[in-house]
Amino acid sequence: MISRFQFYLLTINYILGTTLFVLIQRLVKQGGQDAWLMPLWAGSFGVLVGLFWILLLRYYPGRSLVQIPLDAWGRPLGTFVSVLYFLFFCILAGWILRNLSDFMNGTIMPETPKSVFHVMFLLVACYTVAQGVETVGRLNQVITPFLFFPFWLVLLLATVNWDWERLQPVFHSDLGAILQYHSFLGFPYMETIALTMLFPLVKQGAGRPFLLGVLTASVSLSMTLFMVIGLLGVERASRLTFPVYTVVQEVSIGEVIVNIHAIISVILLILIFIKLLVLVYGASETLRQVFRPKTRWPHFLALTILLSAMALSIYENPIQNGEWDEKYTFIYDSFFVLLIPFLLLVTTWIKRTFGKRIKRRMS
Amino acid sequence: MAYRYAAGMFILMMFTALLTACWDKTEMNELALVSMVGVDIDPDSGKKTVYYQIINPLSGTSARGTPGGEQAPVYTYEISGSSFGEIKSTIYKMLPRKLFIAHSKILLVSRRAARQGVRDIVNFIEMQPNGRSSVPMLIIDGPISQVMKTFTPLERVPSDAIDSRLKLLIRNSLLTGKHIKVNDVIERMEKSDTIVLPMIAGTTEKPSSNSGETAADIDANQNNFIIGGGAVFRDYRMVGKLNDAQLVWYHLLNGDRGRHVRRFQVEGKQVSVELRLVRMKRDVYRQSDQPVVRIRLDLELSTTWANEFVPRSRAEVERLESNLNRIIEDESLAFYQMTRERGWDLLRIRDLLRKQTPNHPYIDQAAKNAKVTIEVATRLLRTGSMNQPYEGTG
Amino acid sequence: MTGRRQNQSIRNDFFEDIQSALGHPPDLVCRSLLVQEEQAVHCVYLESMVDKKTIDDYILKSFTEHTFAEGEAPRSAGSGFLREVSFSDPYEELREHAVKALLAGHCVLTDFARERVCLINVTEPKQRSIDEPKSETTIRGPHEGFTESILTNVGLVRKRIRNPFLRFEKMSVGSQTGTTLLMVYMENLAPDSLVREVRGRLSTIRTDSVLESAYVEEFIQDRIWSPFPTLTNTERPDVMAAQLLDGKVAVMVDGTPSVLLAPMTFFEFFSSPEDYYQRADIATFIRWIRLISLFTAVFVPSLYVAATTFHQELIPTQLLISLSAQREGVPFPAFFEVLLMEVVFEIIREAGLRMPRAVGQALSIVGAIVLGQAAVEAGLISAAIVIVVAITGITNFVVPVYSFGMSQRLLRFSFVLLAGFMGLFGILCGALFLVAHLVSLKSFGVPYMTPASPSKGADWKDVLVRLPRPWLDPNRLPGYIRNLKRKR
Repeated sequence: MISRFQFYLLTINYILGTTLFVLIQRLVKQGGQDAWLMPLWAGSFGVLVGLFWILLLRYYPGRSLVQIPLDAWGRPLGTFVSVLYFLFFCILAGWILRNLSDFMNGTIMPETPKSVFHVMFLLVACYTVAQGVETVGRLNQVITPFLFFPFWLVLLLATVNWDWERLQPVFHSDLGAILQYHSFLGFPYMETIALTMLFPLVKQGAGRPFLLGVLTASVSLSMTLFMVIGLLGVERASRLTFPVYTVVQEVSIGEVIVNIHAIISVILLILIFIKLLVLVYGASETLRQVFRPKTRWPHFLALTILLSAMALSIYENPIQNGEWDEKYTFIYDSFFVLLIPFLLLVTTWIKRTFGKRIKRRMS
Repeated sequence: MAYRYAAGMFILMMFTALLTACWDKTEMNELALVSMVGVDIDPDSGKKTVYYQIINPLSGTSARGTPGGEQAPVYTYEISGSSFGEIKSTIYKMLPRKLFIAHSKILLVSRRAARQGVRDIVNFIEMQPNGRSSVPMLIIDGPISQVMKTFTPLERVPSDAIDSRLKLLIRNSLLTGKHIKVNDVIERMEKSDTIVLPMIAGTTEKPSSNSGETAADIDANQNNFIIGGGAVFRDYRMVGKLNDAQLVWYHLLNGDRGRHVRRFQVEGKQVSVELRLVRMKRDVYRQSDQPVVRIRLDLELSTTWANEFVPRSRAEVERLESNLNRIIEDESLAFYQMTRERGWDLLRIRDLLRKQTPNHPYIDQAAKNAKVTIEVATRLLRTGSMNQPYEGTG
Repeated sequence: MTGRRQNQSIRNDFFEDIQSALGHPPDLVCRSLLVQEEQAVHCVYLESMVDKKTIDDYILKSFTEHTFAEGEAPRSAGSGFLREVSFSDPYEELREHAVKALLAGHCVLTDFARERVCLINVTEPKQRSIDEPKSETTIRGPHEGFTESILTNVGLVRKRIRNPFLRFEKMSVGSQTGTTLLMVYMENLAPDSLVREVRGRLSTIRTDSVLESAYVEEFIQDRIWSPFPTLTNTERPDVMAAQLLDGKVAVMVDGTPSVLLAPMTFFEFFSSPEDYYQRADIATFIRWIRLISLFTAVFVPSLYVAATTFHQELIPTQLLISLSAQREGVPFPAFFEVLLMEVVFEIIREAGLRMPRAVGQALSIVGAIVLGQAAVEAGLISAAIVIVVAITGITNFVVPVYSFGMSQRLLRFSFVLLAGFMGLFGILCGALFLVAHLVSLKSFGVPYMTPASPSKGADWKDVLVRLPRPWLDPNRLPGYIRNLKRKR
């Protein structure tokens, strides 16, 4: 069991996870100097989706997302849907692993094979997840101060390059373009469905910390975007692959504080790790809850192999990734995030109403 | 239990795979530390030449406490090819160590390359993994190889010499501003703005290639290079040159805050005053359907270096201030007229209009026709260690 | 007549049997006295374990002077002094009792007049005097340390906590050694669940011998595969008293001065008892120094390796130039250099523990000059490495608990390996693994990383800072102890 605060932090870090360095550039491209508005409205969408899940989970207290189909639709179909979720989590995990290795190859370790990064991270993640959900929650809690303070400190140090003019004119971007950028809803907000695997394990209810976490993460994203634009300008931020990294790379204060970008890479890597933790937890927990194996570690081993292979083959180059992200993420995620929960909800309602009627008739 | 052993063995085997993971490992003595990059493009053939100035670590203070003495502090490698990417590979025909550009401090571009366009060059700099684009970019007035092969006295590494000179100039004069880095160039050019970069020129025709000789020569002006003049860039292309007097107005009107000392002729008398920008305000208002840009400069005056004349009374101070206001207004307006005639938007009026009136349909035209008024308010805030210069008895 | 003969035979057999049971030890002494004509009294004891003066002064004298009066026993100084076994008991039992008593330092007195065997406690434990513990010295504060005798140690604790709630529970472990264990706690402060847990774990120990408290520690610690100790040990009675007053449980083992204390959390290893004998601000500062030196000791060599062989862009230009100048002509990779020097350092350290004190000087000269300066000048290693190894070596000793310092050494090596293979990424993976391990670790049901996670705001008062005593609640216990009590 984890505490509400732990879950709140987990939600924030999960959302910020890969977003901070995969998406910033695309958001700036889309939103121009007003890109910092985008997380705000996307975040409110995230809250809506969150409310929707909470509604569903309320009907099944103590059951996780993958147990609900088993309850609602019976063993065969439920198992099928749960396996779909398992694959969904695996794909997401593979994705962020690949984002990670792209980042490492693109910045500090250009020649190291991608699989090495994947396997190293997966081994650590599997160890952590195998220790149980408390370890995941506590790990995140212990690490968060080491992410939060250095990140904002480094960005504050970077303000030596700040220029207000880069943010002007305010509110003059194409608001339509901002609203149309639907893939931002999919990634990262709809991906938070993996967190619902932890819902039953939060003491005193997970709903509020989850929604608060989504909001906090959106505000943080918005602030980060704001700073990136003010520090780099729209022109550069929309073209650089890792704007946050570049922002910090260009900081130089005196002779001492130069090249502090290692801090930012470490922060980004840890954030990815936390996201990976949640996804691996979701995947392994799905297996456990659906198939109830006696020993668990072979599954972790298998997961490691599966995910490292998936990460390698999920896309060939970041250009493909970008295109997928822009065109299909929303639709793809919607299937798991909106459609299936909606169907579950409908089934539940029908069952409840009919169940009540039948009961009434019986009595 | 057997499973456990199998799993343990498997994980161990994975670790043995990790044992080979030294792909990115490079020892420090396998690196060629680039301190300065020079780029030249031959306008006729389009051949690109890159000069890498590489620090010789042994020339500095070494572990054993003794400087390398006779060795040159830097070595310049010159390599050419048909594109910058190719150079990355062909450099190893000459260079025995791995090129390491993360610590390069200065980018020099030859004048003929600048005239042709620097877009390729800035892209090359920005794309380098591990390279920083927050390095100052300077234009070489004269042949590039001369500057790249000049040793500097006092600061033995030329890039350090240029870097610290630029820093001193930014603080102590208005000849160079803060926005001279590669990333500033990119930002301004992408907004179809203009930018002025400092220029650098060698002082002798035939520089000495022996660092010992340079170090032994008392005349620091010999075998050196000098920073002076500014290269005006528009659309990644050098379109003209400003002299030092014009640079002062350019930097003042762009909000740079160096303490610049300049001599003015006030009521027939010469007086040297130190100027420093305190605040600059630029706004736009409309006057009979034409945008008018009003620039207001608040300047801080100091008579620290005024060896000719120091005002004695409040009235004199006010007279000096109002005279200076007028002179500075006139001269900066004259500067603006000059730039307008040449079609350079050095005051970045287009950018200002774009921000203030984003929906203007013909922004380029409007920027050209905009009326500019400059108001200057100077205030004498500091005096030096003498409140009157010695005047003699005559 | 028959009775006497029987006594005679018992006497002969009895002594024979005892002698053979103990294997005819040279220190077995049998003294006979003729009391009232033929009624001999025999006094048997192990010379090496008893206080002969007591035997002479009290026991034998009482026979020679007034003999035994009716129903009167030799006078004694305390209870447990005398135990009687009658001849009428089964012979086997009689012998067994006698042998056990002899080994515990009693003297066995056969009194034929009353047909009984008296077992009289005349132990004089061979022990050193109380002096300052060598591994835990302090500038200010008590300089007493525990000794090898458990009774003395109990006395030292009692001297500090004059409280009827101080409880000692006696156990005996080790099928061969039969060592006495004492579980010590404050009944009113220590949570029941904790006491039960410790008692349960102690009772499951199955071993032949316990010679030091580390034997016990290995049996009752939470995890075998962890470099971190989940119990601490101390030789100082004031530390033990302080911990008992925090509601913890101590385990004293006879024959060793080091006492085990449980539960322990990660941050408690950074607070030394001395903190409380100093001004609060200074103590806080020193705590931070300790935390920083933990990070230095664990991470500096690995960060050096990572920065110099993978991420040279992180090093400031001037430093990079001088470092690379130092490396010119050095044959080994930096990773190997660091590993080499660290191993050499550990060897010197281990040698320093074992060597005779007389050659200490020679060894330190060899260590300092030959392996430092000379190695640099010979071009074997670069000068920066010597600094790195020296810094880590020194910082390693800052942590107040020696066993915790040992775990840092292990971690340091593994981080150097990771950094050598993967640079910063390797260090990061290692650090994440470490954090995951730490947060999953528990010490007797208490999460190891309390109060960082699970977090308890109020508990930070005595972790990263030490607040002045008057600001603290006088009846305050650590948060996790309070938690355990509440759970009950």
